[in-house]
Amino acid sequence: MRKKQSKQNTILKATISNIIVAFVYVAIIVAIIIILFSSKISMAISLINRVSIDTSKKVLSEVKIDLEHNKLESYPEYGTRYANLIIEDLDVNLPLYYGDTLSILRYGVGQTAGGYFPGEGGSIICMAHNTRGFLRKLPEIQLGTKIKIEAVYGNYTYTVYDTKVVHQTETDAVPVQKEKEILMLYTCYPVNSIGHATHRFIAYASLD
Amino acid sequence: MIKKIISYLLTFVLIVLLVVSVAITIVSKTILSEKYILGVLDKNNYYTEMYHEILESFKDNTIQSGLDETILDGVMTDEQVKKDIQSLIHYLYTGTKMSIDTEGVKTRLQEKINQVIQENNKKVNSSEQQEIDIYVSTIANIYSDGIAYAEKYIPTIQSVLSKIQNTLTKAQMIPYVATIVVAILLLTINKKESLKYFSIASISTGILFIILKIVESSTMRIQNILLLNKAFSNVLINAIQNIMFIFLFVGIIFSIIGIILSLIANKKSESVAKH
Repeated sequence: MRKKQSKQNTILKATISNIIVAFVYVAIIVAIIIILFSSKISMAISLINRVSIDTSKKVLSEVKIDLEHNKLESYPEYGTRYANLIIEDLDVNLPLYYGDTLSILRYGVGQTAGGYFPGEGGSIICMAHNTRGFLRKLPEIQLGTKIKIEAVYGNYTYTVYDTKVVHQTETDAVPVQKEKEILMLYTCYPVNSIGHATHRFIAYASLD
Repeated sequence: MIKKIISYLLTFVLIVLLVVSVAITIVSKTILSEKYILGVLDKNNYYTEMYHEILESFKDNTIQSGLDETILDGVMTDEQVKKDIQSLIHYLYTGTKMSIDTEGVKTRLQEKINQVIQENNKKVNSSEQQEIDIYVSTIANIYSDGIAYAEKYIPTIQSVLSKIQNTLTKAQMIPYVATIVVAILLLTINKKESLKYFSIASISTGILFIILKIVESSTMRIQNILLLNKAFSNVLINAIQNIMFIFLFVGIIFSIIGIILSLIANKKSESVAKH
């Protein structure tokens, strides 16, 4: 019985020593791989992690404005609704989203990320489709019409002082500046066209 | 002593060859296999997901066109999307002619627009026709991009994939044959203890694959990959995770086989020593 047990112990010890030898081999191979390919491996890892986005993390939801410096303390997340755009004369009351992708524009007015926010004292560039329920009536807007933006951090009223029809390539028509708070609201033109509209109708409004 | 040193060196070579052989086998049976890729796409509901993804992009572009969303009804079907994606995959792996029904989408959409124009007694001038053509082309491009992402690069990808397949088919025999040769050499040089060396090689190979999986889990955020769109990302995540699981599984099997071989070898040598 004792002999059998000691035999088993010897076999077990020998097996463990084989496993240890196997680990030594692994250590040598890993060391060789690290020496030869460490930069390539870390590049591959960083490349994968670069396209890896953790969407579970909460992004700030509260938007506040620093009235003293005319600057938002925190900004809304791209693609979120942060205000309503109201043109009472045209019976327009639409949600205003931060962002201007086609998928955002399906739900309301989009604000381009290149401009400023209401209250920041610069160009606010907004757009929406020209279909019913959106800005179909925008070309009917009159000078002096009021456009309201009711944001989560404050209400702003603008008065239309100019309108323009431009080709879609004329991006100079909506300049980004920070000297005066101007709302530039545009839609595709003409509104009753079928297919890809090549022109834009722009309404310019200054802060009251 | 020399015999032992040679045996240990041959074991080292055997481990490297085993790792290379197994890795080549796994890669050729997964990434480089059309059947495997089609299986992954099917399992992840890729065709339906892509159909909805393309349809949403169609709608995004239709809302500003002055046309109702119903214009898109019947312009494409999920069956057609599936057929075109499968045709693309088949082309990538075999080089046979691919057919993406972009022209069909164009024709069907144009027909539906003409119908709307007729129903509304609308007269279309040349500039309006131009705008309609741009819209139709945009929709057709969205369709082909949805199927192939970047159609112009597909032939390049196909030729690279074909080169890898050809090289691997020719080269994969080398590590297999070399593994057998080294194993025979080990057997010839040290017949008595050959089983012990095989067991060590098997355990080391297994541990290396297990380490690969550990490195992947601890350094890469595979589950959060977001590339091109959600449907494609899900396929990519599942394919990588599946391949890594195969490596882990093979690693565990090799380790278990190695330990069993080691126990047998030690039992054998113990019996020989007793006699």
